[in-house]
Amino acid sequence: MLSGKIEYGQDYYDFDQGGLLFAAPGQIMGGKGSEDSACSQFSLFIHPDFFLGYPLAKKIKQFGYFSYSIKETLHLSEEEKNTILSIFSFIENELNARIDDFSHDVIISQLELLFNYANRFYKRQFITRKAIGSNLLEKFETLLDAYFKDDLSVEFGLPSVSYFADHLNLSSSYLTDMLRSLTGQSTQQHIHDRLIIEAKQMLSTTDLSVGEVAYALGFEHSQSFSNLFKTKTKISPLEFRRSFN
Amino acid sequence: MKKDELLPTKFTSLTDAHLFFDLPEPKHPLVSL
Repeated sequence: MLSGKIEYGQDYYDFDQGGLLFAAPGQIMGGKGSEDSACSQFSLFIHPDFFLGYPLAKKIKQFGYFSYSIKETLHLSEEEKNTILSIFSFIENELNARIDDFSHDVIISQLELLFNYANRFYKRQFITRKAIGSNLLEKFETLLDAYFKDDLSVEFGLPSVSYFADHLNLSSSYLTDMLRSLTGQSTQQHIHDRLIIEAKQMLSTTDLSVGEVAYALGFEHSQSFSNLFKTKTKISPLEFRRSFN
Repeated sequence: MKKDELLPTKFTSLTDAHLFFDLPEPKHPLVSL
């Protein structure tokens, strides 16, 4: 948790009102300080072994914000900041008071509370920044259109989540969580839906074989395409084509 | 390599991280604030 300004790449990020940033083990973070940058922060370090044997070890993988970038930091309201600080205070007191048989359970409970609050506050941020999100959705749709229109699928294969995240200058997790909050669907689901639309168009308007349609869409194996098509539409590509004849 | 280029630092323990950030030794080996 931090407040102040952080220099990251060529830009400054302003967290004067307080921000919350998560990082997973192995994630590269940093930046260099400068004379006019002042930043105060609380850092909570947790070794992955601390979660071993607790359900939180599995649940923590559901919190996408552990792979967000610094640009996607959670900006906290005063009330939210106080909530987070109170949990930090509780953890600090527990660490300072004593380490006994119950310490581990108590701190794990507080961490789970912290992660759940962060999840809630991120959802709030997606809503309060809906205008940015709508613009993002529009840009994503434009990129998806261009991917098939420019035949990038033939050149680069299936469109990937990371391709769109990179072009939108976002982390894959943030893009997916943002899209899910706006549309109820993940980035991958959007891509799959679009693949099916393109496939239906090719199957109904061209004489391309199923294998050729799969190749044109970027699939390496036509069986993978047929499996996805059947999962999404409940019928095989050939059955779909026959329905048009 | 440029002189002011930053090199990534990998922490294998909380103690490593505390040493790097010039913080006092952690009170718990697996969690610290």
